[in-house]
This record gives sequence, structure tokens and C-alpha cells, in this order.
Amino acid sequence: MILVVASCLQKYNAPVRPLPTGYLVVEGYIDIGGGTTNIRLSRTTPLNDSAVYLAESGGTVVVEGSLGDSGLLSPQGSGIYSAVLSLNPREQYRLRITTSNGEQYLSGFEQPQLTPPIDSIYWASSSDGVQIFAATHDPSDSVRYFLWNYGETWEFHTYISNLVWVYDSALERPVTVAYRYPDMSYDSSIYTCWQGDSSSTIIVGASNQLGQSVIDAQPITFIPQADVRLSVEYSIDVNQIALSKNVYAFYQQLQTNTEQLGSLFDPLPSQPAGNISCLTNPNETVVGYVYVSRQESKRKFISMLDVPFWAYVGDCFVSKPFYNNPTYIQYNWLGNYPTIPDETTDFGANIISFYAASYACVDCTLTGTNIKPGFWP
Amino acid sequence: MLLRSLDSNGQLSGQAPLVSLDLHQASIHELAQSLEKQSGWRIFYDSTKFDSSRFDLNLQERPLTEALKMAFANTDFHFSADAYHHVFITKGITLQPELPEDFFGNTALAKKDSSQKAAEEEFDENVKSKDTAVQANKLLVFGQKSAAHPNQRVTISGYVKDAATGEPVNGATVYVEDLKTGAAADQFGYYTLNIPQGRHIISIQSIEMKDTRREVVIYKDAHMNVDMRKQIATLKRVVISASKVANLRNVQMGVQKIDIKTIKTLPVLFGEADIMKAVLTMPGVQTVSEASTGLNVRGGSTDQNLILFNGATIYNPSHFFGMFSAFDPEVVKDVELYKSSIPAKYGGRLSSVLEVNTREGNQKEYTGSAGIGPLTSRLNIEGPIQKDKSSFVFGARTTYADWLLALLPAQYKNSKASFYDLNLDISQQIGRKDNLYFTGYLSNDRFNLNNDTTYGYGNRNIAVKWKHSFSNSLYSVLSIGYDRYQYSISSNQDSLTAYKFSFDINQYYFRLHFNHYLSSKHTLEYGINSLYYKLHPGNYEPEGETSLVVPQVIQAEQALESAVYLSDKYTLSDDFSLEAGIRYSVYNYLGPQQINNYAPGLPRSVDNITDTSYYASGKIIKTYQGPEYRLSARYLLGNDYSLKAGFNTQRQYIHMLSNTAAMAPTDIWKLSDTYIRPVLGDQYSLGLYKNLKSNTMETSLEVYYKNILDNLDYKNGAQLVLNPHIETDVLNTKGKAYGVEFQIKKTEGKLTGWISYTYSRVFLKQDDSYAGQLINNGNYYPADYDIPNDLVLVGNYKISHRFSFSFNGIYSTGRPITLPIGQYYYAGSERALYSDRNAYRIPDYFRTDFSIFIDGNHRIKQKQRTHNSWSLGVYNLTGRKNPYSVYYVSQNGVVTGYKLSIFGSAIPFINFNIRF
Repeated sequence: MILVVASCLQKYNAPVRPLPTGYLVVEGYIDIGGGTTNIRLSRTTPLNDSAVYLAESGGTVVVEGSLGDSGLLSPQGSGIYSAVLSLNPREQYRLRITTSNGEQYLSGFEQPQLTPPIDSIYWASSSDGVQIFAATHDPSDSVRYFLWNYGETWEFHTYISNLVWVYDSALERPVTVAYRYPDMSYDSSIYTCWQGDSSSTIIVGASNQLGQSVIDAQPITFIPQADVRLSVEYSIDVNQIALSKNVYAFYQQLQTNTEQLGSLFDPLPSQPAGNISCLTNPNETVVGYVYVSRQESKRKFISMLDVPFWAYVGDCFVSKPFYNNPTYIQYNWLGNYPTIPDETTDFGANIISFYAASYACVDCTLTGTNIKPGFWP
Repeated sequence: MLLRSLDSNGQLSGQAPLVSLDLHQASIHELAQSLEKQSGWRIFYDSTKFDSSRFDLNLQERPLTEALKMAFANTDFHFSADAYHHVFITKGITLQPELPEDFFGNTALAKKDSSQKAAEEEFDENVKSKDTAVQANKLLVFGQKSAAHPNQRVTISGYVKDAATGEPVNGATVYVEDLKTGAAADQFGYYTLNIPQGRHIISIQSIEMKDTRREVVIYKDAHMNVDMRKQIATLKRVVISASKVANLRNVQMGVQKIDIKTIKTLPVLFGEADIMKAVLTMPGVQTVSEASTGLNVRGGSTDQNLILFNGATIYNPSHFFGMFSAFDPEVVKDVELYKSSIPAKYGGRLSSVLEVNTREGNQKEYTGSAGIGPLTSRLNIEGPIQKDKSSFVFGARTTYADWLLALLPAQYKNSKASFYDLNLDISQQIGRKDNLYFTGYLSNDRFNLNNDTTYGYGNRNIAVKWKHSFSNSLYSVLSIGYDRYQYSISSNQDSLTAYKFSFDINQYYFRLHFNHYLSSKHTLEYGINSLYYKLHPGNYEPEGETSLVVPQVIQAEQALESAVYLSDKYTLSDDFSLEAGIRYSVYNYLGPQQINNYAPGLPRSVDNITDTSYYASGKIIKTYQGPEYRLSARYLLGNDYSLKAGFNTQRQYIHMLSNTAAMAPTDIWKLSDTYIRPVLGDQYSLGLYKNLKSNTMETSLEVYYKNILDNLDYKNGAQLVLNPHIETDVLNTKGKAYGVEFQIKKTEGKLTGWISYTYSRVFLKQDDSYAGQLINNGNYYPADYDIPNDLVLVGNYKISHRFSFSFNGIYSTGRPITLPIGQYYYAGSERALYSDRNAYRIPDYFRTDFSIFIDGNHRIKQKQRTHNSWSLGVYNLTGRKNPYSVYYVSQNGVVTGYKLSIFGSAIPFINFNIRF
């Protein structure tokens, strides 16, 4: 008795009434470690609206200490307000916001959390891919809750191309190919590039159920087998931020409610309550939790050569050889770009046929940058 | 046939052989056997007339007739013999020339012929079965006419049993036709009637049984056991009877009963007869998802149902994530759901009592059955331990359900699941007045998610019941038992964080119940209950030597719940009767326990804990008590029409804490304590019942309104597991629920089934001033299980004895959910902004199922060694992708909405059963 039945998952858009006005969203922490405090103000938008990020500019953001001191953050554009403040680790701090429409908001006072350094960033490979972990510990055992985020950068290569089209300006299309350089070399400036991304999921961990504050294998990210990120070399810069129990709970709820649904026994979703309230309209929803901490970072490089097996193919296809005559090129061109010769005579001087690929597979600057990052070895 | 009557002088004694007897408490069977052996004469009698008669005899070398005379001295047994050395023993039938003067009533039959005919037919019944029309001719005489007093009433009682298996016939109607009064046999098959002296015709009827009648002349309190035979051919016959109106005459309302035969005809997922799914077809019973056995009865939450398996409380009646019920259909006899008039003997849950009764086992011979289906294999054996006195039923089921995991969402792939359940029921008759019953139940589930986390849960129950009859009109039932529900979660993927989490509920109970039939107007039920709870709300422990996990143990909880109750079924007139009950329950939350104290007047939060108080073992920390009223009344508005009304109050001291929509095996239970008050509920209900077409169609309309006080709900983002200060994460709400239930049921004929429609609403409102956070700004919000419209159609069409078709159709409104109303950018991604709690609904639910039953043979009379049957069908015939849930997740930085359906296609099934 074999029954082929399976649960079924469909994309779905529930008919919901969109919210008329956006609520204020406050994200960021007050940096206790001498770094820059960045607070980002934005507004919620209707679901499926094209404007996902609606910056809240023109506001005033002030950090207030429990001993009465204060510091003003200056607007940087895109709703970001920042300043380098010198703060006292034994003092509590809060945030006071006045938006351009005159509404006033105030967060609760938060105790600074002194983030311990990251002990190591390491990885383990399996047939499925590479899992990257972070390990840390707090010798004082006082920090128990952690948030991580990361920036990642990877080097990638395109097809080698030592050919260029020779255009007929009247026909506005290529008619033949020629070598890019007299020595038949390729253009290395469009061959090697770098791409980057940053974390878009919430990564939190806790050691509160352990005897010591030790996190030995916190999963940070997973690179699936054959992914472009490990096609040459990969680098990840992991940031670690210590949280108080309440902030941890906020992030955990945010994670549960926005990332971890879809099981048989989902918790019923709800909006996690933050620590910011509107003074002028107490019933107004304010999204976000402002806290006081500092950031510890560590970078890790992984080369494709370090990984036992990496089957990167990419989604570039080199077409079958083009014949180097104007009629053939006219009908097969399709916006492709020549890469390398196939059949030649006279030691390569005359090209009989050649390969071509889509433009992005030849010029890496279309998807990345060819300026080598400063930290790259 | 030449028949020579022997009077008490024993005229034939000279010719009779000599016998010696030394019998103590012997049955008629033993007596007859011993006499036949010694005399060589044949003795004929109807065993059903002697069910409970016992004989003490000690004699040496006496004539057979004298032995018989001694045996039947001071009884209403008589004997006669013919020329062929046949002895006929009869009960009640006097072969004397002087018959009771009212024997013939108005009909003038020839006295001689009549008495002879009666005697002959009586004997015939023992040899082979005969049709019911003849049985009505029997006359049973209890006592002497000389004992008659005008207007004096006498009590007649006894057991109604299945003649073939000796099992009690629960719910059989014992109806005195001339008086138009009757009673229903209880779960033991026991009935009691109080009737005037004189001659009466008593008819006994039950579903699936041949109707039978007993004609009695009664002058003293009497014990009359009735053996009923299975009805074989009923397809063409429609029984028209004024007494088949239990639904009209019963005082209680909101009671739904469904027997296992009906349950087995319902098409269900994988053809696995499912008790809980059958209950879901009843009006007023809903569930939030098709993959859950959690019941929501009349706007109650899933923890507000008392599920009793032969009196043992089952906390989780499900297997396999809740998709299948944990009751073995082969041992279950019937299921009864009380959703409005809850008898005073039950308490402790707000919404309903679900009684699952098992069969008592065949007292005559060993039988069994085995089945193979896509989900489980099952085996059931039953038989006598001591013939006609004790029997056992054993049932076992196990599964090979790993393949089923393919049904589940992707994150359950690479998982393993298994479950089993075991049942053992033993009943033992001790003498005429005592019966002992034993029930043992064990269920176990284990599943392993992606080879990482292992879940296990199970029920364990053991119970002993002792029923003692003090007299015809008074009996008691004493029950003691132990119930346990446990679950555990363990993970050893990372050796540093390997852990095991475990939770369990234990309860020890003692119940003493009296059923007292005072008169035809009053039947009293009274008793005391005592229940001791011991909960281990969470033990979190390291697994393995390298684990750094610090053991975290939430303090064990203890409590004692006691109650006394009294109820009276009062028949004012034939038309009007009333059942009034009161139950007084006292709940003590007991030490040892450490209780947090909170600053007065401030929201209950960790920051506001001022200090803690320690209570020593056995010390009463908090007491809650109060009366519960159970009132219901019935008024007959004619032969086929009745009106009922009820008022009920309930108290519940144990609560399930869950923030998931579906009832999960890992939900924890919490006892009422200093801060968590018992849930209180009251319900007003009114019902109209009308039977059509000679009582073969039953219609009912019931309306109800409920108030719920101190219903426990959770705060947004509450931590419910391993929380040593759980009172900070839950809140008290008050609720209101109301609804209308309508049902048409056809009980006879080729086509049987019912249509039920329920309109019901349930709203909750947070009114807890200590909670701090207001849900939906303190306004009423629909509960997670608020399902306004629910329409169920259940039909079974018998083509022949061997073929039948069944059909289900179910439509219901989608359950409420909280949906995103906007989005925002946070922590590197777009995220959903949620609306007020339960402001939206998932799409409506609609499903149809179909099945065919094929019986291998249907010859009950002939002894067939095996009997097999097939069932095959399709679940979700239309293949509709009914939503299980709708959710929005942030993936790759973008919010995307999904609709998850678990049974998103038509699912065929086939099942094979064999009986032996």
C-alpha cells in the first residue's frame, strides 16, 4: 500500500486591510564601548508595498543617562542618527526621540552589557555545504545572552575573455571579433571581482542553562554546496553583541514570529513588545527595542581549496562555437559577448570560430566590484 | 406431547431414580448436570431464567422428584416430567389448577392448553432460539397473591445482558407498557423499576438487539435478569414503538452517544476507526485543525474536556502529533459526550465530559480479531476467565508510521515516529451482589525529528471498580485508580548542550458513588470524590558526561481536589421530570512549594517580586471551594415532542498552558495556585426535541449561553515551559460563548445518519488588572477556537448485509488567526507587523470522505471459524487543499505569505479485518 500524498505549501496573500499610517520603528543600540552609536528610525509600510524601507528623517534623537547626562545624535540621512559618545559602563541609558511631526518617544533605561570577545569563528563541511560557527565565553559569567550579525564578502571570477566585438556602426551590430589586446591577453579587470552581503536573519544564543557562560558552537550561517560564495575565496566578519535577558527575549520573539513559522505547532504570532513608548499618544504602537551594549568582531577567511569538495558551476553557459562570419553572428548574436577563440589558423591570428556567453558572465563588474577590499589578503 | 404435571406432593416419586447431592451455591446448570448424570433423565430449562439463581442442597439417596422439590422450595420454580423421562423446569409458570385470577386478563383462553403451551415453549427456547412474538407469552410470577396489598409498590431490578456474550447491554430501555414508565439500564446493564403490584408487561429494547418482553405478575420486590439476543435481520423491518424515545424522555440535555458500530462506519483517514474524530461529527464539537484531536465543545478550550476511559482520566487522547486518537476501536463499546447537563458525579472540567466505555468481554467463549491497515496493525482477544462470571478483553495496536512523515511539512522529513497502545479490561462477578472491574491502559508515542530531537509521550492508567448491590434499589460503586500523563524531549546533537526535558502529571483518585432508587418518582445519586494531583512541571537535565547543561527543576506541584454531590431525578408526572444536583468541591493547593510574593497593586512581573514564602510539605497554601449546580428539566408536549432546559455550573482547577493553535503533545498543565484561580463557568441551555416518522427520525434544536470566568490565556510572547514564575506570563480572561445546535438523525432503515449544524461564537476579554499588558486594548476578542459555522453530514447506506457505503461532508468556518497588517525593516530583513490578536481567519474548511464496507460473510448463527471484512475509501474526496495554517515568514529579507495544507489531496485507504 503505497500512498503518494504530501502536505502542500502554497504562496498565499490573505485579504487584510492595510494599515493607514506607519508606526515608528527604532533599531539600534547605544554603544558603550567607544564605538559609533547608530540609531535607525523608519516607518512601517503596508504589506506588499513596494516601499519596504521608509526612512524617518527630520527627527531629534538624544541619549540620556540615568545620572542626568545626555548626548545628541546627528542625522546621517536614510533615517540614521549617529554619534560617538563617551559613556559610563556603570550608568543606565535611554533614548528620547522627537519626530518631525512633533510626537515624542522615550525608551526604558537599559543596563550596559559588556560583550566578551569572540573566541573563534570556525567552520565544518559536509556533503551539503559549509556551516560556519562562532564560539565565545564570558570569564565573568555575567553575560548570558548574545546577538550576532555578519557581513560577508567573496571573490568570484568570470569567463576569461580576450576577444571583443567589432561593430559595424551603420548596422549597429557586431560583424566580427578581434583580440582585445595585441598580445592576446584577457582583461583581468573584469575577471576578478568581489561581492558582499549582510545577515538578514536573527541569530541569537544563550548560555543561561549552562553552568558557565560558554557558547561553543553557535551556528552563524550555512553555505550550501556549489554556492558562488566559496567558488574562490570567502570572508565573513562576525559581530557579537551582548544582550540583557529582556532584549534577548525580544529578538527571540521577533525570530519566532517572523522567521520560524510553518510547523505543525506554531505559536500564535504576535507583535513583540519593545521598550519604547509614545509619550504624546500612549496607545500608539512603537516597534523596536533600544539597548546598551558594545560590539566585538572577528573575521574569518575560507578558501575553496580548504574545502574538500566544492562543485561550483554557476549559472553561466558558454554557447556553442560561433562562426566568425557576419551572417552567422547576425543570427546568433543575441546580446552575447565573445570569450575565447575556438578554432584558429596561423597560430591564432585568424579566428574561424569562438565561444560567447552572456555579458554578466564575462564582465564581473556587472554583479560585483573589481576594487579589492582593504581587508582582502 | 404428553405432559404429566407433578405437584408439590410429587406423585411420581416412587418411579423416580434416586440421587445424592452435595451442592453449595450451585447454578442451575451444575444442578441439572449432576441430576442428569445420576438419574439418566433429561432436564430442560431456560438458562436465561436462572441467571442468578443459586442452590444449596445436601441429600443422600433421595428420589429425583424429592431433590427437585427441595431445590425449588420457596422459589417460583416449578417442574414437570413426561413419560420419556424428560424433566421440565420453569420459572413463574404455575402448572397448578389454580392460576392467578388475573392471569388471563380479558382473553378467555382454555386454561389447560394455555398452561401447557407456555411450559412447552419455555423449554423449547433452551434448545433453539425462537421468534420474539412467542416470548411475550411468558409469565413470570414473583411472590404470592396473598401478599398483595392494594396500591402497594414493589421494586424490580436486574441486569440486562447479551445472551451470546454475557456482556451488559448499556442503555437498554426497560419500559412498563401499561404504566408508560421506564428506566434505562446503566453502564453495568443494571436497571431498577418501581411499579405497583399486579400484572405488567415489561418491554426491553436496545439498539442492535432484538426487542424482548417479559410478562410479570409481581407481589414482592424481585430480581429479574434479562438476556437479549443480537438482532440479525433488521434491514427491511422498521420497529415502531412508543418507547424508543430516549432522546425525548431523557431529562438530560446536550448528551450525545455514539456506539462503536456507528464509529466504524464513518470514513476516516487511512480507515482507522477513530473515536475522537467520530465525536467531532457531533453538533457543538469542533476542532481547530483536522490534524488534531483537541476538542472544543461549545466554545470551550481543549483542556476543558474530561476524557474518561472507563473512569480513568486521559490527558492526551492522541497519537502521532494528534492526528489519530489513542483509543483502540476494538475494545471500545461506545462514547458518550455530556456538553450541557453534566451529571453531578462528574466535575473538574468546564466544557464537557467524554466517557469512553470499553466492552466487558465475552463471558461465554474466546473470540478475537486482528486487523491490518496502512497505519496500524491491531490484535484483540477476549473471553471468559470463569465462564459466565468473569471475562477479559485485551487489545493492542502498533504502528509503522514512518512513511506518514512524508505528509508533514518539510522540516519533519528525515524523522522517525512510532506509537502503540495496550488495553486490558477484566470483569469478575462475585456472588449475586458484587462485581469487580479492572481497567489498565497504556499508550506511548515516540518521534524523532531530523535525528536530533526525540519526543516521547504517553498515558498510563490503572483503575479498579467494585460494584455492590445492597438491595434492589441501592447499589454503590467504589473506584480507585492512578492516572499518569508524561512527555519528554531530549537532544544530543551537541554534546555540550545535550539535554533531556521531562514533564508529568500523576493523579490518584478515590470515588464512592451511590445510586439509590427511592421510588418511581425519585432516584438519588450521591457520593464523594477525592483526587490527589502531583505534577512535575519541568525537569531540564544534562544528557551525557560532557554536557554543560545545569539541571533546572521546576518545583513539583501538589493539590487535593475533593467533592461531595447529591442529585435527584424527580418525576413529577409522566410529562414532567426534573434532575437537580449539587456538587460542592474543595481544592487545596499543597506544599512543599516556594511562592513568589508580588508588590501589591503592581503588574505581576519579575521586577515586582518582593520576596518568596516557603510552605512545608502537606501545608495548605491556597484553598478554593464552591458549589456547582446541575439542573435540568424535561417536559413532554405529546408523544413525539419534548422541551428541555438546563442550568449548569462548573469549576476547573487544572489548566493546560498552550500558545499554539493546535493541541500539542508538549503543552504543559498547571494547577491552580495562589495566583492562578480556578476557571468558573456557567451554562444556560434550552432544547426542543421532536421525533418524526414513528420515532425513526430524531430532530433536536438546542441553544446555549455560557459565561466563563478566569479563563487562562497567555501574554503575547509568553514563556510557558520551564518558567519558575509562570504567573507573570499568563493572564486571566473572562469569556462568553453562545450558540445554536441543530440536528436531524435517522436511526432506522437502509439509510442512516445525521446532519448537524452548529452556530457558535466564543469571545474572550482580558480583565486581569495585574497582567500589565492589554490584549487588543482590553476589548473582547475571538478565542483561537471561535468557529461560527459548522455543518456535518454523516450517512451510511446499506445495500445488503454485506455491502454498505458511508459518506461524510464537513464544512466549517476557518479559525481565527493573527495576520500581518504591515511590514517594517529590522535586523537586516523585512518583517511582518502583526494585527490585533485573532483579527482575521484562515480560509474555510470543506472536506468529503467516502468509504465502502464489504463483509466476507454474515452468518452469525452458524459457527464460522473466521469472519473477515474489508473497508476501503477515500479521505478528502475532492482533494481540496484545506488550510491547516496561514503564516508569513521573512525569507531572504522578504516577507512571504504561505498557506499550509496537511492533507492537500485525496487520500485513498484500504483496511482488512479478521475476527475469530
